[in-house]
Amino acid sequence: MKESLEAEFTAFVAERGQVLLRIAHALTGDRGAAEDLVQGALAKAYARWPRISGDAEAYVRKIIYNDRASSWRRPGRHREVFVAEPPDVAHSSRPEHDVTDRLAVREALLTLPARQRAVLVLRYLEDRTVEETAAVLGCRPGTVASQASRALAKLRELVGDVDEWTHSTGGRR
Amino acid sequence: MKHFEDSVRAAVEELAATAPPPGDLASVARNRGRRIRRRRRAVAGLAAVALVGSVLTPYAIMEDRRSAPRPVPVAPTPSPSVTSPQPAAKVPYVAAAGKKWWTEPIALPGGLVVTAVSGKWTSEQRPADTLAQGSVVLNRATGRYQVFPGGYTMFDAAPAGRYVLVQDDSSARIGIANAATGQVRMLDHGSGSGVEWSSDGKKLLLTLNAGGFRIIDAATGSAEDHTIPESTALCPDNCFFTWLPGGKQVAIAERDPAVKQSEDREDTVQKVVVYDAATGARLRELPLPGVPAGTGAWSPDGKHVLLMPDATEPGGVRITEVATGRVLGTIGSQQRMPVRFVENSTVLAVGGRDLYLHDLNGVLKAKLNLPADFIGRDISLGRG
Repeated sequence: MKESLEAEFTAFVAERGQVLLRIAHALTGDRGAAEDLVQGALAKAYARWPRISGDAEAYVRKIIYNDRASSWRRPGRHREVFVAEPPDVAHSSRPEHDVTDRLAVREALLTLPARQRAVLVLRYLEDRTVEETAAVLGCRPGTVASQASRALAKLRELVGDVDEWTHSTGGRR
Repeated sequence: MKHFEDSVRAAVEELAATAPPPGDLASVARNRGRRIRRRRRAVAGLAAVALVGSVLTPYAIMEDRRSAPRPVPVAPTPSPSVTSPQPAAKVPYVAAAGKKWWTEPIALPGGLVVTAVSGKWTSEQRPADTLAQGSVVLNRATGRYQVFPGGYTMFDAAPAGRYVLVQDDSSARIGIANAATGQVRMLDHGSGSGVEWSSDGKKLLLTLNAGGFRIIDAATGSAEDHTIPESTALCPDNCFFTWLPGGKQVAIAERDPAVKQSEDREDTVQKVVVYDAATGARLRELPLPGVPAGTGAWSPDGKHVLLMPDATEPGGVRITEVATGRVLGTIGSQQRMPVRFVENSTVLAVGGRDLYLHDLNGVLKAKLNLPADFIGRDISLGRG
């Protein structure tokens, strides 16, 4: 690769590497797996850099999302999801409930199939529209909507209906 | 509803926030990227060809479809000694096709034909849907080559039958095109660590990122996963499964854990491990000191395999005895790649539009030119 292109690639990684790692970590929940995912995507980008350098980030993001072939058809790991004892009476809104909610949701997220998790990361971390998410994943908007719906339903099933807690306490919004 | 989604959003952001620091991503990616390029040169395109168990036709009795001069016969000369390849300049080139190459199948030694040519991508633009630039596939019904529109970044025809492995540039997903109908079935994932056609052109073998492999039925797109984390725990730089002759077993190389890894040099391979393609069960180990350069790198009788350059032999492709790991010869880097067997005793190496035929000792026996339109494109070969 020409020196100017090498420098361009290095600058791109320096500037966008952390952002890409954030996405990968949200997808994998594992530091090593996230690094490997990003390195693999960047390596593929490097191998074709002269052609994709104009829109490298979009290219790398697509690879990160779509090269998660290893788990897209596998059901998620059915790990135990530890949550606080479900309250049987209304209780006041306490900060620790926020933490409990998030921890429970976070654990549950990691049990989702990778495709559903990818949809949630695109929608909630990257704030992509349904159409943009569909474009990244190479599917129809309707598929994105159904995947998101299934993912949220599964999360509710795994962590319990957090809204119920909130509604009963008039909690946070 | 909104509150729950807020919790999901917060959880996703927390996961993202605990990402590791970037470290030296660029140099690691650069080294891996260079290896991808090398591997692409080594196996892309021709990886599709795997004439396992077939009886291959020597040059001399090939049907003469053109007026162009034909290649000379290649006489197998197996020898146990390591021999340097013959200087390429001493062997004359023979044209493999006429100027209007698209009008009939381009026949090659060993009963092979060119079944597809990928698009010619440049840094400026995607290839036009023309014979000279686009994805082109052999229509076996008409015997002519035709453009397959779509601007795919990968266009790898199966060694038999009608299917073509494609990759969509817009989503990085892979798909299976039907050359007979023009239909394309895109799959919901990318290429993992590598994809290999079975010799009958009916199945794809995808190496899973998390370890193990996926068998994809080309006709239906259905897939079966065999998750084997330990299969890639000791993966060398080039980490991909290949089919073994017969299509019942698959194999992947393992590096030597005693040798410290470095991004500055290729890993040292200790052995190749064979798995049952149907069950994923580990079957046996082969004492091979390198990574098989694709499914076509195994000789049809399974006795020899072509190993990619690595730390042990950076200079070229090793022609190796499977049972012992003994290197019979080396195809030097000047001969370029990809490489594959065309019959039990003949190896085909590709350098640009040039094809080189070697014996088991790496001795150059013949050279062919493909059409100039093929420069910068990947070539798929299959049964004629």
